[in-house]
Amino acid sequence: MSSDSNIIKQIYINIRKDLTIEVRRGYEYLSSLAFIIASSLVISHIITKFLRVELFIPSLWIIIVFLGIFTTYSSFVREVDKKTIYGVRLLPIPAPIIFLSKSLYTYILVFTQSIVYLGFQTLFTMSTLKLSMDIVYTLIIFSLNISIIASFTSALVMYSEGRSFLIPMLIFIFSLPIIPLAVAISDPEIPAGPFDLPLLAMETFTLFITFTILSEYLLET
Amino acid sequence: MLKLQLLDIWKKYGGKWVLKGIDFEVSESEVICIYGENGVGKTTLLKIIAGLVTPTKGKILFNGESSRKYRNRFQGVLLHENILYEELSVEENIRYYSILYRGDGLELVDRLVEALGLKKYWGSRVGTLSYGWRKRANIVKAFLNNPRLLLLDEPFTGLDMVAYKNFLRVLADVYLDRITIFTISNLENLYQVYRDLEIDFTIRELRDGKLHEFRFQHY
Repeated sequence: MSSDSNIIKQIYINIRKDLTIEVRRGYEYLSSLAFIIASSLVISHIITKFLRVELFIPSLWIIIVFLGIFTTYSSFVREVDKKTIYGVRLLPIPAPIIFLSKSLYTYILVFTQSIVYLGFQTLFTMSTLKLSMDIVYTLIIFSLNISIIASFTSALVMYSEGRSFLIPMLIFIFSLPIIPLAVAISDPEIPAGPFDLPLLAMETFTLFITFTILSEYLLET
Repeated sequence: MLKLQLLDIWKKYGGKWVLKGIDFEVSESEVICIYGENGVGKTTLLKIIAGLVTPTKGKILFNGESSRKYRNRFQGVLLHENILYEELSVEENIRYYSILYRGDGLELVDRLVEALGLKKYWGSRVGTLSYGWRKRANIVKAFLNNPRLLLLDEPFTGLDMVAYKNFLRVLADVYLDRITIFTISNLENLYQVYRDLEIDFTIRELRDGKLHEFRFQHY
């Protein structure tokens, strides 16, 4: 029990540290905000011009993938650039805990920015689109999925010189199986089976377990 | 009884052997200085001992254990690079690490903060500090877990005379019950430390990928 609470404390301390750093790097979240506003302007223009309200949710998934790519740089990659990775690797805590902390931190970033995107999108399209619980759940799980992928990719390529090319490529490859599933659940035009949401959750869980186990090897070497 | 063993350590970088079969053993309360010119592999050797670089061949044993996870509980490492978060203050960095290290060495840390005069920059962000002050903050970080294995890469560069002397005094006071290994690349600094450090320590010269006995009369 005390070991569990210790793990939770370690994760909390790591996330708090990363979020504090993120908040103090003002230009990064300003550029992220600029991306969200610009993309929601473009997509809302398409939606209103062609009256394609059904594009609203699929566009969100694409935005989440892009947010995943951007946040990859503020995860392990930044630690390597700033040499703070040495401090992380010298910590007497297991590598999966570090990976888990980074994944949750990335999740907070991606999820928050997705919500901001939804807000701007609703504002720009003057839309009255109602979010069903299915879509909300999908959004929560899909963001988590992309965050885990982004953290793993960040750990995988952190020492690579070709990471500018590798990061988007790997995120697209890792997220390829999940995007059609997420879009199918959230698009009312595409009939989604009753088990699709649990399937998405199961896929995310499997990904989480696999990447957490593999993170041990990535962070130890 | 603490014991650190380096067994036949080899390291190759870009087709060139930097370390060529280093065998070395250090026991509790021993202080070792690794001297060598720039680029001979001192930092690489220290990072290999710390588990931050994997040797091409060979093994490190600390108390008979080869796992870095085990060593992480006992070692304190000062690297040449700043490993503290620039966006956080010195205090926030120290607090972050001390929670994760469970703050075993807080008494020692207080003493070091005092000795190095770090108190006046306690609330300043690390990114705004000069090289010398960052170095002091990193020194304090290295002692957070009251390390039994102390690995210090060029610990005296960037320190002014007062901080240097105070730091040497702390090292002399705490060397018992632990293993201390530090590096120096400047011969003049080596002479100075040899003169100023009030305890006996062994000097080894890293040259041509091997550790040699250091003899003052050669210079």
